[in-house]
Amino acid sequence: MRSSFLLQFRENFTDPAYYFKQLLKLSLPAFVLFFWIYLSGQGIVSVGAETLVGYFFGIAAFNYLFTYVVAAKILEETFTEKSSVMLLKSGRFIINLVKKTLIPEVVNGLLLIVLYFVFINVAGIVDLIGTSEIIILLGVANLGYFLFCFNMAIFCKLIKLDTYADFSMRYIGFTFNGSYIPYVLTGTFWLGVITATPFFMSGAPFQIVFGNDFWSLLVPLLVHVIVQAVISVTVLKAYKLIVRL
Amino acid sequence: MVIEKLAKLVRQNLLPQNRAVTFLEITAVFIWMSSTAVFYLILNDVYEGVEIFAVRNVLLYVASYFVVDGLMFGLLFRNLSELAIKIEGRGIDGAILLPGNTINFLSFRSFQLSSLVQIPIALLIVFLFVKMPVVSFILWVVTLVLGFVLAYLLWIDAIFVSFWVKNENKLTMVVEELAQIGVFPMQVYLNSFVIFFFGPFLLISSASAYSVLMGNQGVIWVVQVCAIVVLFLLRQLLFNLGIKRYRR
Repeated sequence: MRSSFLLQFRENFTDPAYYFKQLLKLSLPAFVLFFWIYLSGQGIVSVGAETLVGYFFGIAAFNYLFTYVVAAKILEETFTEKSSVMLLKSGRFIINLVKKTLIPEVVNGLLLIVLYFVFINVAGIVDLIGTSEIIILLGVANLGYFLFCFNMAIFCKLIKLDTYADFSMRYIGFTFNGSYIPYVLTGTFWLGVITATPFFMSGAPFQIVFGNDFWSLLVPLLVHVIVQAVISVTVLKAYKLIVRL
Repeated sequence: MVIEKLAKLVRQNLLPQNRAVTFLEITAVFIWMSSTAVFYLILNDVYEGVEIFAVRNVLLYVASYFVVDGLMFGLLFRNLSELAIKIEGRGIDGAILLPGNTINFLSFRSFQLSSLVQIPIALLIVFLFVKMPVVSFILWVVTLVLGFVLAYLLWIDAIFVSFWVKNENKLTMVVEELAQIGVFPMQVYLNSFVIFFFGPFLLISSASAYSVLMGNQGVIWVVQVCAIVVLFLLRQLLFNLGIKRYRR
């Protein structure tokens, strides 16, 4: 399995289509970035263009990876016939889900991820400590987001709503995870409202590092991750009970 | 015929075995619309007094987007996704052999009720909160219809690329996602180099709202029609070359 990921990694770099796909990934949040740069230029928001670029580059490298691809793959894998049986052996299912959905997509996203970290360090947007914080927070936050996607997939499977599940996750996820509203720019109770939604997890690392609210955002993030872990265990038990009835 | 088809669609979706799924799908659509409205509510609250976030302007952008989005997903999404899969899987022989313009038929073959629900809701928002003169309303609707035609051509041009490059429907996903620029005010992009990249997507729905606010529907129509002509010619070229390659 490890050698297949290495092979995938090597093949990506010799495939021109791979670079085109990364460019497309960058273009998707570009229109949101230009919206905020316009507001910055008009003096409506006080954050500089460099910070905005750093923020949205991170969104492109990570949020799109998770909000788009991983969420959709988790839903896809969970809705297959085979998964109905596999879910009854829950531990194996989750391990297989990580191998089939998460790791290949992280390997595919490595180019943008590496470029992102180089950019924010060279541009002086964050220092090495800030970089380490982002990496640790990304691990914690995206673990929570992975579990959230899994919980949504099981829920949608139970209520037999597969048609709009991944589109809903993507559309609502973008609006509230920082892809549309950089939290660094909000200083009102709306930040609390957004922080309360589980979609907050995938944007949290950037908000925590780029903003000035370290502990007041880190604590909700950790609470979200714990809550999603508890829900995963509960939902799996419920699924087994319902299937066996 | 369209009304008959819509009536049949409503009846089918309200059959006892389909009611629950229909209800859940419509709920999902409400949630999407609300999340967009909340996005602007937040901006309006945080940046009070900024004209670009004035409630009337924002509602017009949101309503314009959801009318065209409702048409795109209600009429085109399922059909074009199936067409893309058939082209990549080299399974359109039946379609090519049929007489007439089968690609257009395949594009509009079946409808999706839950997405079409967005349209009356968006129109109600405009009636209740935007309040424009009847003439402006009619001109606005015309720009939206032109925007929908543009969206169809962009989408189908992306699908025809599948004759050459297998992309597992990802290009059409990119078109869908870039069309979300319609939620943002057009003036943000007008004086920037990015207008050359995002221009066609802005013409889908953002330009319609902009034309009402600026009172320049005539200019927007001209630009939309020019874009439609270019994309239509591209569609014909891609289809003809694509079919030749397919038959080889």
